[in-house]
Amino acid sequence: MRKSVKFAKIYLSVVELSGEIGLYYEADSVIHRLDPRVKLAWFVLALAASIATQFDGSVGVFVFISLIVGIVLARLSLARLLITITYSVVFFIVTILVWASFYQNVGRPLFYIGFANLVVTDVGLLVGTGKFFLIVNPITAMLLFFSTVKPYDLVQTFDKLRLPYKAGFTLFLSLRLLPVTFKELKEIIDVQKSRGIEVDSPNPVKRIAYTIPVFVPLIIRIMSITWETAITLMVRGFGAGKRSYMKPLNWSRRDTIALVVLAAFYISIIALKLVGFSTYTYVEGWR
Amino acid sequence: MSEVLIEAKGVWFKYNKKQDWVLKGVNFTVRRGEFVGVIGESGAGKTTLAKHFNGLLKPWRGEVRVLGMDTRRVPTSRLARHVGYVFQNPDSQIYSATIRDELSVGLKKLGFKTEEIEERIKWALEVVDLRKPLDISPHVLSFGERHRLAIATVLALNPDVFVLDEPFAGIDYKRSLNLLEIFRELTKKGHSVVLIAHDLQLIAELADRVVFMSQGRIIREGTPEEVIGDVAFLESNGYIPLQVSVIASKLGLGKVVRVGDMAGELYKRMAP
Repeated sequence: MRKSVKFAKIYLSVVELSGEIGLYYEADSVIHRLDPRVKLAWFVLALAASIATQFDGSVGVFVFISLIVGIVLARLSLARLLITITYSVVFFIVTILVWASFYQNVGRPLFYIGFANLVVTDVGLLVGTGKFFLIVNPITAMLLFFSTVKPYDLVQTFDKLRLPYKAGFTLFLSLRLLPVTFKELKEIIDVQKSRGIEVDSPNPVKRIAYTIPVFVPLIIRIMSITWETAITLMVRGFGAGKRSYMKPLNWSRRDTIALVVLAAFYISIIALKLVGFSTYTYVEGWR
Repeated sequence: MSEVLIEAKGVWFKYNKKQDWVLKGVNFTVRRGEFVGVIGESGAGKTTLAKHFNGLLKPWRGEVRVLGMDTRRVPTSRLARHVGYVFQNPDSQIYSATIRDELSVGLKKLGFKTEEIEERIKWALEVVDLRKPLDISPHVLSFGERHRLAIATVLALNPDVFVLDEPFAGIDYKRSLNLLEIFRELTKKGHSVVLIAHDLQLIAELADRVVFMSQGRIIREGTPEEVIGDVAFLESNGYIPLQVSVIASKLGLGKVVRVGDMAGELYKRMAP
């Protein structure tokens, strides 16, 4: 009994926290004050640097550290940081195991994992961590971007970059739908529990079977909300002509400095990788 | 005194640590056969309190007992046998391919035989006045019909307590009143009803006891006459009193909430 109550609590808290991911987080921070275009450039640069360092985790880690510094400077909630780190750790272990197994015979053996009968070499570890950062860095960069850019400003950012307004607005709407979806999900779980359906059952087989009573109403609700939104947009004149903005974006000197610093940092990493630099070989050589 | 079905003692609750208290030391009791109306402005904590009755929410301080069971220790799915909850939006519940399947979900879980399930389905649909073929999809029904279907699913379970959380959106006044009269009849058979609504007239007609909530506290509790009939109290708490109560008050007839009662009172005074 206690287990099931405990499970329900964990389940709901995960649902709650997941609902936060990808959404704007109100805070007064230096990152929030930056122009959204700088933050979009940051995301693109971090993505490019992650691709460049995908075979060398010893360099990719600097991209990761830069993004964590960004999250800390943005004063994002501890829950977001914890979710990122917790999921990252699990993903890290799996990635290392998978990629290390491909590179067992390349490089210098570092250690042996008995249960997996796996020899982890220095090359396997570098590639494994590189591939880990290839996935985690863009996700973290995206988290940083969406957490610090108001959905409203997102539309303007797209507009300023001469990207289709409808594309920006669609992204804005889908972001707007995210918290609504999680609110609906929570309510549906409550309703089905009230009808005696054990969506919080500790038995995993039962839980899988009970996804239908949760997801069918959820899909129907989301479709209905989307339809209502479309109607509302139509009656409010969406697409009637060129639009204006209440709070236009303003590019300041602070934004230029931030962009230069970020570009210098990430382009250096990409350039160093292109000339074959690796922190690992550098440290090894020094040793 | 009849048996206590739900007992909330000193319930304090908030949705997360950073938030203010939504319920502040609420004491609430539902006895067998009682029809309790809960009123109060939006955000007063009515739904939050109601969600404690079937364990959807657990108190931070204090305790809630349903037939003696502590809601913190019993899962909601088990409390569902005793407390039936009708939510505001029927679309959060309906998922089955046919009306019959939707109605039989809970009954199958409680282990009823096929014949009895069919009987209960028939009875529940009659009560909510939903005359549709049982093998059609519930999603083709109108909003009001889906709402009545949602109410029927709870009725079919035959729980000890019905919690009705503003259940009449999309249902016309006459049908709402008819449905509530059915619930009123059920109280005579030993069921209890907790009705959360903004419609003072409905509550005045049917409730045995009315609870008025404001800012997470119960600030007035008593018969409909004592709460809904108190014009000054309602006005000072942002409610528009019933016209009949205002007229009765101006005529010096005391606290009255039903037209019939006012007419009776007037007749007594005017009769030679």
